[in-house]
Amino acid sequence: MTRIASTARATFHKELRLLLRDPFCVALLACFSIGLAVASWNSYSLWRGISTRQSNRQADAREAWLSQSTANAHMATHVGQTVYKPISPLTGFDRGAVSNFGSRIYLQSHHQSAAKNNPRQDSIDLLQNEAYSPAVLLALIGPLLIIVLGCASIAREKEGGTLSILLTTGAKWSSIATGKSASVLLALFIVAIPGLLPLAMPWFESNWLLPSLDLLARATVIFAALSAYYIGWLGLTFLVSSKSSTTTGSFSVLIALWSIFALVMPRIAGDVATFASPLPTNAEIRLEKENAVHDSNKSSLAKTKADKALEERLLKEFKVERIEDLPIDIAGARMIDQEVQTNRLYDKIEGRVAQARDRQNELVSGFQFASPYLTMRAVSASLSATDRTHHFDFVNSAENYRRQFVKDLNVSEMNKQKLGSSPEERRSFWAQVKEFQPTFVSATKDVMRSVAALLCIVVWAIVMAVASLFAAPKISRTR
Amino acid sequence: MDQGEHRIERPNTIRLVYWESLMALRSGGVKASLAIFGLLLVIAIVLGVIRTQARQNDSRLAEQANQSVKEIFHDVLEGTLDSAETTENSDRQSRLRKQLRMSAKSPYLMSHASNLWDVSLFPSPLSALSVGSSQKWPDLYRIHGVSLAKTVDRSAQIRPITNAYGPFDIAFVVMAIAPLVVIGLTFNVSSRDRESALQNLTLAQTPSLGKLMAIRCFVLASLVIGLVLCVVNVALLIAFAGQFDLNVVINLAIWNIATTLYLLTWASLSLFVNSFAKSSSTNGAALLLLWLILVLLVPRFVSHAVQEAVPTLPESKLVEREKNAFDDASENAGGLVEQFQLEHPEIEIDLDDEQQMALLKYLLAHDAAGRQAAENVSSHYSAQSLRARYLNFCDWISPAISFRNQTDQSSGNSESAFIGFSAHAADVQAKVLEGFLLPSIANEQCTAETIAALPSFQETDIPKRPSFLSSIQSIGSLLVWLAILMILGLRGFRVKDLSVDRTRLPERPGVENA
Repeated sequence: MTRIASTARATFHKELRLLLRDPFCVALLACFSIGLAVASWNSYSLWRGISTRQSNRQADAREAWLSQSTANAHMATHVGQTVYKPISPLTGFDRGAVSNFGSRIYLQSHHQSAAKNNPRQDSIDLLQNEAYSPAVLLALIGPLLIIVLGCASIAREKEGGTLSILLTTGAKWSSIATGKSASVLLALFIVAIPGLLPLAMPWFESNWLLPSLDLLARATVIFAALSAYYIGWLGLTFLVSSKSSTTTGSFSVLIALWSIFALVMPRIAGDVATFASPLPTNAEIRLEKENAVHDSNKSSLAKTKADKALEERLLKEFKVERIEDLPIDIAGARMIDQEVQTNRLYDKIEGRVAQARDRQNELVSGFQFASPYLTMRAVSASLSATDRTHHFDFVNSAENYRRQFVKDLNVSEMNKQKLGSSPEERRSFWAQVKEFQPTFVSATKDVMRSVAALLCIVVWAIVMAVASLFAAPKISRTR
Repeated sequence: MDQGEHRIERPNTIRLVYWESLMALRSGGVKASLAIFGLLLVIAIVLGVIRTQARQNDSRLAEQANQSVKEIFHDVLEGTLDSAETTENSDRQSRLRKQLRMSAKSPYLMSHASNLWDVSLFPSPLSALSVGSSQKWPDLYRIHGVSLAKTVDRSAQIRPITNAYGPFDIAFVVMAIAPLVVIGLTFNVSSRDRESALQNLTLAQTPSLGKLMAIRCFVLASLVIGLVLCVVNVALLIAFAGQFDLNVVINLAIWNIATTLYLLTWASLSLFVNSFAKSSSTNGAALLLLWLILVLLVPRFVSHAVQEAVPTLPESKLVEREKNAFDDASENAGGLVEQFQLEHPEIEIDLDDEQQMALLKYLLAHDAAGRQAAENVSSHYSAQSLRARYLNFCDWISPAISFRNQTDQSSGNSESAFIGFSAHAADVQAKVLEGFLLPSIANEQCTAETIAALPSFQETDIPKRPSFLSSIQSIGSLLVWLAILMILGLRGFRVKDLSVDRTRLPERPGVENA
């Protein structure tokens, strides 16, 4: 055991020394580090910019709501208000799907608006892939560096004939591989520091939106997943390199695997999901909702019946004989009733859209088993609170808020509450509608959401590491 | 020449090409690489064909819907509309019949009718090559009553971009994956011989090492090029046989040339790197780094830089500005009426008729807001076009950019093509409103002539011919890249050729690395 450890230690030191002496490897690592630093700075400043803008706009929208000159409570539900999506503090690390979706929703009665202001729509992108945030670079380029450094490390031994000598001295392949892996991993994590900084930066900001412990838990799980992801790639590199007869062969195979995992699979997964479960356009959803409302109002008999039922219920509830004797405004009650009905119709339509979206998610998740890159990206975006699921969490909370504020104002209308005449009285009346305060789900819930992806990464790391340790290269007699 | 001296017959270029082709085709590695790459190509083209056919079907449906609106419109005006609802009528059609029965005769109501007319784009069969900007721009605009900004608001008409990683299309496979295959096949063309101690043997067979290496690189690259062109052209011919016209053929020919030049550029880059006589792993890593820079980093950086250089307004802002313009015009409605009286003395206006005046003010305010919106939309499209032009200028920075631009251009899914279509939709909207505005002010009813005057709603005004200027630029830049890299590569080998001692013993493999 001690011998294995000492061989591993010696190999580790030797490899690190050789790596630092190789100008090409040093240049490659330096380029990666600089690229990560640029991406981190870019993503971080983007996050700060959007975050500040969104909170300022939300404050302006609230002020506009409080100082509105609308005549009555129900009219205010038609005037509506706009809510802005809060941006996760870890957007600086992983932008996820933030640019793919709108960042503000206009809320009003009888209508469900879609999130607007989608940054990707107005952008131009020749590559049409994800923005190069630190998370993307670490997951995409990191394995490429592992392949180059790992392959070079085995090639040095094979081409110099030292691997055979080492193995004939009784040194275990597992200890050699461990030493080499540790040196590559250490070099990689040192140069990756600029890319990992955005995980820590939110602590230096005043408005985190996430509790510090939550943030720490997220950063820790992301770092652990990234380590496992790299260990898997190192294992694969050593496995292929040790089993391949030529360096060029192993290099080609590894590059082919990398391009399939990181370039081909994610795109095919997205396309398959889009084809299998297409989502309707905003215009189609809007039209369907309008038609549903139109159809439900088509039969005047049904409407009269519903009104009659409401009247009977109210008369019974307030124990009075006539509508005129009701202590409430019947029109307000009808509006509440109508809103409940339209919400039911919208839920039906949105439910179908959500089903299509869930089907897409399931299909993409299915591909995660075949591509470690997809798995790593899913874990990273989910724990950075920037994936699709988090966007729809925001959409759902905005919709719940819309229903609550419309209901509250209609109840005010029904209860004949007066606005007041002075600006202060009006302001305090509108202030009864609570401010929109979206929250992010806890880190624990996000870990639970991405437990399948996390397990995939752990399995990938273990399988590849174990396979590489047991895949000792054959000693060539000709050497 | 002494009698005992053997004269070595050097093979000519054709024979060298033949030998190298045979060797390449017999290599298991080459066959496996081409098989995997061919499979990816087939997947990409199948996905592209499915996408294009779906888009073409949507466009046909939109055209049918327009036709049906025109027919119902005509029947209402002629009084021949069958009042009985037939079960064959779709929900949309029966709604249209009801809507038009009530409003067809009133130009005022017709000008405010939204979701009635669709302006649609029929995608070219070459759309199967590249998704391009078709995910961000719609193929269909629905005329939204009097609001131009709402008509051209594309956020309503495009499907949400669900694929964060980008589409898997031929443009991507050829731009990003094909160079990797070329690199994989050619990164060790010269180091392989050296490492297996065959270099001197090789040198004995050829007068010039550079020439032999160039032939090797281009033969291997030609296999990839042949596969790409074969799969793509055959698939397009099978899927869209009836849709090939001169324009499509020219565009496809240009794309074939661009693909050939692009992949040959990668082969010559490999030749250049090989000319430094480094080890295979160093060559591979260097080429990979160059691929990373030219294919993944530079296009992203260029896109970002162009976007920062030419900021554009989000389309939701256009709607907001149009609304503000309407509010301003409504406040100044009196002035607009006076102006209108001066411009149209033939229309009699009863200034005492409050109802007519209110309607007139409303219509004129909308007209003024529409003109302001048209200006805003036009400057918005100018900015977008400027971005597209800047992007074309960047062709010279990386061969990947020129190939991508050319593919988008050939497929008809370039940013500029969609900007052109969107501007066409704005134009149609203006014509529709123009057709209804004067009759509604003059208090006239719609007639059969009103329908006849309506625009065609098809993208007839969009230029379908290939844009030769941008194609020349893309092809020219690829040619320049190819020529420079080839010259540098051959020159590098020539220097080695002159310095090589042909009598020397073969090198031991791996000496350089050790």
